Amino acid sequence: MNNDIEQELNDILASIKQWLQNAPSGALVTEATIEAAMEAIAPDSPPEMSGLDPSLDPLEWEELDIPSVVPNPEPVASSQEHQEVPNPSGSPMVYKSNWGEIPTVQQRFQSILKQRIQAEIDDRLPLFPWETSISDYELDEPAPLSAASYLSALQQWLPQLNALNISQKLPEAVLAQILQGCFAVVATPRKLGSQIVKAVGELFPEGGQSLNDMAGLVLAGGFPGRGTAMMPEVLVPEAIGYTSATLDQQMALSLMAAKQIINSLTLSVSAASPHLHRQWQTVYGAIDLQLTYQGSQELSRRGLNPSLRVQVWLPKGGKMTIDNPHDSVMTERAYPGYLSAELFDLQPNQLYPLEIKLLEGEQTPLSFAISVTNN
Amino acid sequence: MGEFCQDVEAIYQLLQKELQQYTKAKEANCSEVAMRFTKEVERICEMSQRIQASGEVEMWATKLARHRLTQCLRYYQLGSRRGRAELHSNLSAIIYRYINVPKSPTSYQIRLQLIEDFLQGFYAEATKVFREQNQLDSRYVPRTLLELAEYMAFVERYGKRRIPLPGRRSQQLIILRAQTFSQQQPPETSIDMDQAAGGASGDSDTPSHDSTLKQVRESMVVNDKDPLSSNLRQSVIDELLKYLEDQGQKECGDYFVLRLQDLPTNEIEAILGLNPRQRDYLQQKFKYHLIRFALSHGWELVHQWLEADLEKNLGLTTQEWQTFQGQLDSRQKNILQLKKQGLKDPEITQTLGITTNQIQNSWFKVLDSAWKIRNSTLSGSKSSSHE
Repeated sequence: MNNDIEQELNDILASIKQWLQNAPSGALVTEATIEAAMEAIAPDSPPEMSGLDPSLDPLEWEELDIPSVVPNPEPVASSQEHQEVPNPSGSPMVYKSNWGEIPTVQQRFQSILKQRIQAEIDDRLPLFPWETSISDYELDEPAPLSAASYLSALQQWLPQLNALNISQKLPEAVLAQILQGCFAVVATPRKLGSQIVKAVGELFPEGGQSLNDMAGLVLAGGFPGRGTAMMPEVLVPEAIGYTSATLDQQMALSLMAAKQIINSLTLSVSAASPHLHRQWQTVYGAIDLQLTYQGSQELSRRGLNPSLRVQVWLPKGGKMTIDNPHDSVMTERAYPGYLSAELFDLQPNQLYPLEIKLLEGEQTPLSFAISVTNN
Repeated sequence: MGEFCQDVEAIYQLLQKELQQYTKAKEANCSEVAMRFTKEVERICEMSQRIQASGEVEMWATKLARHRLTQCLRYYQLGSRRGRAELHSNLSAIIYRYINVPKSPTSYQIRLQLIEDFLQGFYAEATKVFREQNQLDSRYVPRTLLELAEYMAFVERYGKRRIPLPGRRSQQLIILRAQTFSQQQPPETSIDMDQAAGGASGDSDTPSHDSTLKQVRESMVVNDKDPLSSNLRQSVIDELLKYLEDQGQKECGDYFVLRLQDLPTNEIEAILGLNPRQRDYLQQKFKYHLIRFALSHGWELVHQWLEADLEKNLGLTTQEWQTFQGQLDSRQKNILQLKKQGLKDPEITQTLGITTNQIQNSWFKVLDSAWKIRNSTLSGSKSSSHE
């Protein structure tokens, strides 16, 4: 029945379309013209950045929706002959190429989505690039943010990174920023490649495709250890430090670090390997994590759900939070010692964020991802 | 030039005064922000040939300045949290249609995740441009609410910046960026997406459904350099949306708008927060109202737009017109006759001695018959009959 209705609806739309096709028509925006335009305004083209490109009239940029400025928001005249009279209002000549782009439709569509998305992001508001948490920007006391903010917020977690074989090559502030990036992505359901690209993205805002390509090479194991024959141009000599490295080398180093960090932050258990022990060095001493997964078949034969026990030793007071889709578990203590939590209702192939905070003012939590797989 | 310098000073004073009046920011802070706006406006006025040619530099400078002021104050009033939610959702909605992984099915959730990634990069870019444009140190970050509002307003303006395309078209900068971003999605992500989309809902029927829809949609991509057709189409949509609203069917309007966006069914459901059955019901309701609109309430407009109005014999060929008339009963014929003569419903009521309702019902059937004949011709043969 549904199909009939669908069909009829399509018929109506199709007949409308057929009639439209008989109407006089012009040319569409082709892929090529869009591409050309995109090249012209590639993020790294300096003139556009500084707004000094003489070929573009800056007034055209303006989206002035002040009524007095745009008396007629839907200009239809004069486009046909390409003789647009210089129009001081700069009102954008939008060429609608399909139904979805009719202004009314577009506005309505955007307002539907905006409402929907706004409702969704209310409890996870976006951060701007320099922020590590959301502040209200109260008037008289500027938020204490500086270039070193990454460092201070993350300082306590950094000792662990000394253990990475790549860490000596990276300045502490850069490592801190990568670590921050890794925290943000480790529990997202992306593939490792996407995760590391995203984790270092802020260091290379214009990395674009080359960052993706580089990630592919890093994952393919081009280096280190397996020789660098695959990509001699980004060979990273031992002696070269991060600051004197080329951009490609910096990307490669950062991506390698991100890969190692994400591996350390991912806690994988399965029926086949149900136990995991991991340590994370902090400035206060090591945090010790032990995971025990019970998902064996005899368990389900006995009618019991698979479960996961997480036991953590904290070198000072703090709290641990584990999120799962239905609820979250939070447990805390005021002094050094153990915390533990048990999860049921585990879904296979699901990532569960585990966060640890130590008692010490405002700080970025240490964020792991627990990965439970079936086999 | 000297005159313009005076104007610049006046604009700075205006901005400074209003910022102080409407915010709680310190005087020095207001001055800094006012100065940045002033410089930007001054630069635009100097560089814009249109403005220079208009001979009304001062008027333009004031307008541009006010525009910035209004935007900034709006974000200021919203504050850090609501402001960013506003900005983020606004930009997300603008780019939503353009964010996808090439050759992969998408879903609402996948797009949202991609949008998240994209916007993080976009904010970084905008931050950089903001610093450069205002000649700020590369470590500058907003410290006060006023500065944050200034920044958010800038990001909005920057994203919505109109970039001229060849052929006198233009597009918003953030949309162009979003398109580039979509093209650059690493292939492994797309595999991920495949799995995600396949695993998430398990609807295997989407491909066939989507392809029909897509075909329809693709051929609906029309070009409207013909202003009349474009205007009519616009009016039809506006009228239809208004009609639905008047009928208390706002959600049908929402559904219609989403249908026009090339979105697969599951995505429409996710956006509207409906399950398949509810969506199905909504679709039926929409269809009902669409037909009522096309054949009753908005028939004149719709038929005019279809180039099938009464003057054109409802778009039928001579032969079809005969067939069509053969299908009508006598009352329908009479109504058709009178309508062709330009009589309005009240006059027809009097002439024929029937009620308005009866006229409307008959007329609905008349138009329906013509519609069916046209459709059968259109679907039956591809021969162009537009002569």
